Amino acid sequence: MASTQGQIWVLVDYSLCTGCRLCEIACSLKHEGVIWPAASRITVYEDYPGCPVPHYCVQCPDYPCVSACPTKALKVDQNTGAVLVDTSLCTLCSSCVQACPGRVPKVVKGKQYVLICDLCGGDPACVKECTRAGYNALRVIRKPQGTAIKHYAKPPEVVVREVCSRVFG
Amino acid sequence: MGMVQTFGMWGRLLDVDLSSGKVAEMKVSPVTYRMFIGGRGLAAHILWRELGRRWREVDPLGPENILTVLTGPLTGYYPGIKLSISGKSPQSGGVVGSVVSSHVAYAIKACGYDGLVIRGASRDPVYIYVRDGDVEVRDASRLWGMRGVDLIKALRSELGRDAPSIYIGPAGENLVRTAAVMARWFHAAGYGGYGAVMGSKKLKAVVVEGSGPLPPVANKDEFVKLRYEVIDRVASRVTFRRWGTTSAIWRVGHDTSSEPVRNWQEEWHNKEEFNHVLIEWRYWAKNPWADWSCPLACMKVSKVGIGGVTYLSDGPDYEMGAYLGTNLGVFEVDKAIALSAMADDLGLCGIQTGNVMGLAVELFERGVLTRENVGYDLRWGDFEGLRRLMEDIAYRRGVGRVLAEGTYRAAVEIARMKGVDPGEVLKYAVQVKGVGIGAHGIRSRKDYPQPIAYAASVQGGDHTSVAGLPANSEESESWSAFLDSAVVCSFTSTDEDMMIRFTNAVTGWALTKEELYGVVGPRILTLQRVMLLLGGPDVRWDPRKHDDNPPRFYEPLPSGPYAGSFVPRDEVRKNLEEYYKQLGWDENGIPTEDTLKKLGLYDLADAVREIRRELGAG
Amino acid sequence: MFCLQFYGNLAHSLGRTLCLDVDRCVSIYSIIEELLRSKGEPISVDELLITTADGKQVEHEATTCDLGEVRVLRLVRGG
Repeated sequence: MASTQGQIWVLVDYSLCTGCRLCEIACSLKHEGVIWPAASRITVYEDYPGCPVPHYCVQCPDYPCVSACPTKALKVDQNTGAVLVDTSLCTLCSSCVQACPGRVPKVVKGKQYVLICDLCGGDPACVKECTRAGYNALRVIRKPQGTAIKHYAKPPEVVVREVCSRVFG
Repeated sequence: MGMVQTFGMWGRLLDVDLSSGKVAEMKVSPVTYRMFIGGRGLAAHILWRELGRRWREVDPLGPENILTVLTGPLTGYYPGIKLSISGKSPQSGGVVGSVVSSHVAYAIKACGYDGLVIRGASRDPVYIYVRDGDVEVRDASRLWGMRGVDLIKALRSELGRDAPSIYIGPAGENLVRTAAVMARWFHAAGYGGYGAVMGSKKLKAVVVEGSGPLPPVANKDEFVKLRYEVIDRVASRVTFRRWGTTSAIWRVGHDTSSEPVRNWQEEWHNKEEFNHVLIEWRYWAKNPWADWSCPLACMKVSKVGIGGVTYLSDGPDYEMGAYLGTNLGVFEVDKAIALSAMADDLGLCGIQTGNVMGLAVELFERGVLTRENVGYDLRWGDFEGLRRLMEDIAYRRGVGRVLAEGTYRAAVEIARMKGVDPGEVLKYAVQVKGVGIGAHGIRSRKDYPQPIAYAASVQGGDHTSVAGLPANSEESESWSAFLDSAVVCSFTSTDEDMMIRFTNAVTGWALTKEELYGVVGPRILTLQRVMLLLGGPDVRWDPRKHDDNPPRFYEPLPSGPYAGSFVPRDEVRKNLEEYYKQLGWDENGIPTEDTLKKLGLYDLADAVREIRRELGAG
Repeated sequence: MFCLQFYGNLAHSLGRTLCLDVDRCVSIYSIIEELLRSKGEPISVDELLITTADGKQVEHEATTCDLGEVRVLRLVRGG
């Protein structure tokens, strides 16, 4: 496995997340130039009141989405560790969605390519917005080594179950 | 470009007729938005246009009434979220612009629409499902009868995911006039009683999923800059974030002596259990919690266990904690939270229901209502009895059948039952024009509502839309009308200058403060005022009598640091006259013809003449 | 001279306009906080919206040397 030297990672603290969705708004404003939550690369799920779960690409060390792509449209940015989509090669076949343990990549009406978090080239807008609002639920850290982080990539309903049962029983 | 294209809005609404099942599109012109802004103002305009001809005859609980679910130009752009819910009100007979925090507000815009206009009535229970351009009226027979928590679960399982929705509980289904339109477990559009309107249309819920972008704004750079400024300002309201409006249960009561205690017999308490620091330590499972795009996050999730049952609620938020707590003599916080959770689950407005329950307990105490009438005893602070009473109201059982009509109508009916003059019971009813007064009293003068706050409001006892002097300032009801029409949450609102600049950046308008207070605000208020005074079918308000505070507010406060305070009648009278004058209304608060002309509301002239004639005022 | 224009119920207890003699540059927010305390008003400056005559919120760092007059309104009405 390649070294993650210098690569960054977004660490979430679910207990601090207020469910405000400002991260979704910031992401869509940054990438699409308009407020478009459906096109945000970060999605907040909230099956139970008071237990919001932000869900996004965690740059799995083995990058199953990259391997699964039949047109080689996905590659890894060695500087940040983010998955990058070559918009001219993507055919919206959804192989990456199936390969992803958390079904994170998004196919959105109106976009000709799959949407995956690119870590904003190293300065994630979602983190900035969350910090600006003073919630601090998202932080940029050095990418942790190893496969433990893949747990954050589980399907949202699984994460919700595991995180929310402690609070709400 | 401003008048040719509307920025920030799509210029179209979904028009759903539940009688025929037909779905159409209602266009809204840029001029209409410029005149009425959106939300509450637009609702008033649509309702007058569609129903004005026979306003008095329209039964709010009949198929002729129209339910409006609307956004405004600031929806989705201005931090925080609210959705406007309106129609002819089963409480006041006028138009109340109620708001509720709901993700449906941004979702409907993401579908390509500015809102929905819902007419007619379905024969069988239905829910409306909107997904981008597609609208379905779906069978809700499986969902009918469900309480809030179960309904949300059922909708999630039917759709396979959590989708934004507004819905009613059993109270709305049973046409209880104190029923609210609910959202997200604990949020309610209570004022106006529109839960009953949804119930009368057999409409259980409106579910909206939108995958598109919001409409473009006029000046993007300015909008982005102002948006950051607002986020910074609002995010700095640290204590509000920390304790939310729950802190008011202590502060409004203990510090400002303006909180209802035992049906407003007192407005002061020193019950330390309601100190928000203790409430936070004992009951809060999640803090802070926020609504869509909100940088304040004033909400909480509280969790209590009583008798083996777990109740989840908001903080409780101030109104619930006051109306279902101190107002009912419930000074145990866990019981107040439980009652709040129950009201949410039943789809009852905590304010209106707490208000009529307070009336009922006082009447029982005075022997006006008896055990024979109720079936059990009503006592201040009696959790079991109060819980039972709330259920009886939601299901129109026993005395609940009468109380479900809301404070005003229940008082009149109880007087009739007892063979006494309505005034004999109305003197205990703390309401204005059919709307129970929100938990902010006027007697101590240390909270915000002025002496004419409720007497002159076009929304009656609505504490979020109070009237005040001077009419060209944020004290005026014009300001609330603007916030409810832009549709923003008042807790994330900032100063006039910022709000107007923000509006102009999104819409491309050149709105000014002078125009807001001189034309737009008065236009919306005047329109609402006329429909309120027309009223009907079962209520008719005489401004000379009903532009007033309830009798109790003229009784001196019996306790607390401002004991002895009350509001002098002549001050109310004087302020009313001044307020009317500033809005361009006559000495009885009836809009003058000159004002109608100036505001572009001349189609109200006949109605205004009729109202004046009936008052014998020529 | 530094003047405060009160609105609503605050005007009822403190008068429409209250002018204070200030001989140096004092923080506007703290002078208001002090005034409310001294008059026994049960409201904190956090609950107020302080604006200029044209309705613009006054910055927290502003002093009585920056502005001669401000409006004092309630920030939150209802809850």
